Order: sequence, then C-alpha cells, then structure tokens
Amino acid sequence: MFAFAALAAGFAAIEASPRAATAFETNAPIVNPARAERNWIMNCRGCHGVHAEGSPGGAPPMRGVIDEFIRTDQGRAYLSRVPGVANAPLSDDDLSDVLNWMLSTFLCEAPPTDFKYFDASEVGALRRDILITGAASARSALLASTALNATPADTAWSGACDDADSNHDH
Amino acid sequence: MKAIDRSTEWLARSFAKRTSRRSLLGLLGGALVGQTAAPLLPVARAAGAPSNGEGGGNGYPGVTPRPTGDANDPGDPTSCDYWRHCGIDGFLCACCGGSPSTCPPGTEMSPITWVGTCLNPGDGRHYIISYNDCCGVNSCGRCLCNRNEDDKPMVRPQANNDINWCLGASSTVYNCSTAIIVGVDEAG
Repeated sequence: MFAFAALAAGFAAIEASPRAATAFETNAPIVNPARAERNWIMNCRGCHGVHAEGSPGGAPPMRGVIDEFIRTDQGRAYLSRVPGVANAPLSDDDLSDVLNWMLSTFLCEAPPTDFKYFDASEVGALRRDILITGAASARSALLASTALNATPADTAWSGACDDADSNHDH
Repeated sequence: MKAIDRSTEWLARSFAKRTSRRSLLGLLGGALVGQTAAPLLPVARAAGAPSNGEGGGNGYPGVTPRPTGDANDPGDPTSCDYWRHCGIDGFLCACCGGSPSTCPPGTEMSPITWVGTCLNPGDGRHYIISYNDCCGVNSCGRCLCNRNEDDKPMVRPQANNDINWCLGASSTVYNCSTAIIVGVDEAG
C-alpha cells in the first residue's frame, strides 16, 4: 500500500472512494467488501459514476433511486435483471456481494427493518431473466410508481439524497 | 570566332544595362548568408533528439521524451509503452498539453469511461486504470497509441476501448485519452 500511496501523492486526479457514504450503519452481508468494491469499479463505476450519480449519455443514477427500488419486489428484481448487472462477468456470489456493497454505500436512508439483502441464489435466478430490451421502460414504470415520479431522475441526476450532500461529502 | 565575341559582348552589355553591380552583390550576399542561417530555423528536431530508450511520443515529431524519473512509476507518459497505457486506444494526453491524469487546457474530462488494469513494472502490482477521454476540442493528433489489454468486445461496453467516451461529456468531440490510477487491484 505504501507504493500506491506514493503514486497517489503524485497523481492528483485519483478519485476518492465513496466508501462510508451512507449516514447509517448497515448490516449488509458482504462476504468480501474489498473484492466487491473492486468489482464495482471494474464493471459499474465507469458508466454510473464515482458516486453512482449517473451521467447523461451514460448510465442512469442509482443514488436516490435505489432506495425506492428496494421497497418493491419489482424494483428489487429490476436491480438484478438490468443488462449491466445480469451480464456482468461475475459469479452469482460476487454479483450479490456487489449489489449488497452498492446498497451499503449508495442508499440515502437505512433500508426497512425487515429488508432482506441479496444472496447468490436469488441473484442467480433473477439475472437469468435478463431485461434484454426492456430495461429503460421497466425503469420508467418503476419510477412512475414511486415518489420519484416528480423528478426527472431518468435523464439527469436530481441531487439524489434529499438531505443534500451534507452526509455525502466526498 | 568574331561572331561569338560579338554575341557575348552584346549579352554582357545588355545584362549590365538592366542590372547594377550593387544588386548582384546583394544577391550573392543573401545567398551566402541564407545558406549559413538555414540550419538555425526553428524546425522540429525534437524527434531527432537522442532517445533515452523510451522513445518520447513514439517518435512523433515535436514530442520530447519526458521520463517520470520515478522508480515506482517507471517509463515515459509520452510513450505508448508506458505501463499505464496497456489498454489505451487514442491520442496520449501527455503529448497534447495534459498528462496521464489530466486533460489539456480547454478540454473537458468525460464523466464516464471504461476501466481496466495494468501491471506496474515498478512494484510488480496490478493497478486499476480509468481511461477517461478528454473532450470538446478537435483530435489532438499526436502520439496515437492502440494497446488492448483487458479490452473486451462491444457487448461489454464497460470494458471496451473503441467507444467514444465523450458521449457523456457536454461535447462529444474527442481530443485525447488519459490513464488515471483509481486503485490497486489486490482483491481481483
């Protein structure tokens, strides 16, 4: 790690890790957090952004949106069925770890007390029912059924967490 | 023989009538000085500079080698062989007014990108590299580099280096590519 620190000192553009972004303690069952974060960086972050804020022309935002998705069965399934997730070159175990890492990192609020985090068997079944062409319309339908209907979350990052970024100062 | 003499005399006299000795001297002097000063003109000779073994700008004219001089980060960012460029496909920003981590002035870094890993020969470890494009100004055109380690087909866009990643910037005009370290690939 020393060598990396030395390199980092010379490279101002290295982005800070979004770890510890949530303002609450999570009990997400992440088997290997370092590996999960690595897999997020390698497979998701390039399009969704360092803080999952999304990007016009790239991929839609997650922050401020996944809070709503995990409250319904359809939303929960959607998170495993979108092509970027379902097609990720990761095993079911690694994929469920990444999903749980994302929830523990990018949720704005603590999930419901009875919330069940992802496990490999559930993710494995859902990803085989991939949303090949209907991901955008499925997302729009999910957003329309939530309080996010009023925000243009599909086309631009609306600021994500309502408590502004005071809890997400990174 | 007389005819030759006459015609030569006629040519010499007619030439002397139309020109002056002063202009002839000026012409000869200009040629003399010009010939001597020609090598001093500011032509691009950086490419002909002695190489340090890295080959700055892959020999691209006008790009001077810029070795890092850092044992932990060995190589020359203006060279395609620089370790961080193992998966790059585009013009090296270090040759375009920027660096491997920064865009040239007047351009905008794409917020979306693809991510790969490269082996740092300085410490023998793999690092996670983000190949953000710089956008908004016409192609730099210097130091084209096309290496494809970790590059995957278009069906895996998050690992494809043929995409113009400026599609996420305010302008989709591509200028050059960076190679930013975002972490150590220790958990892979």
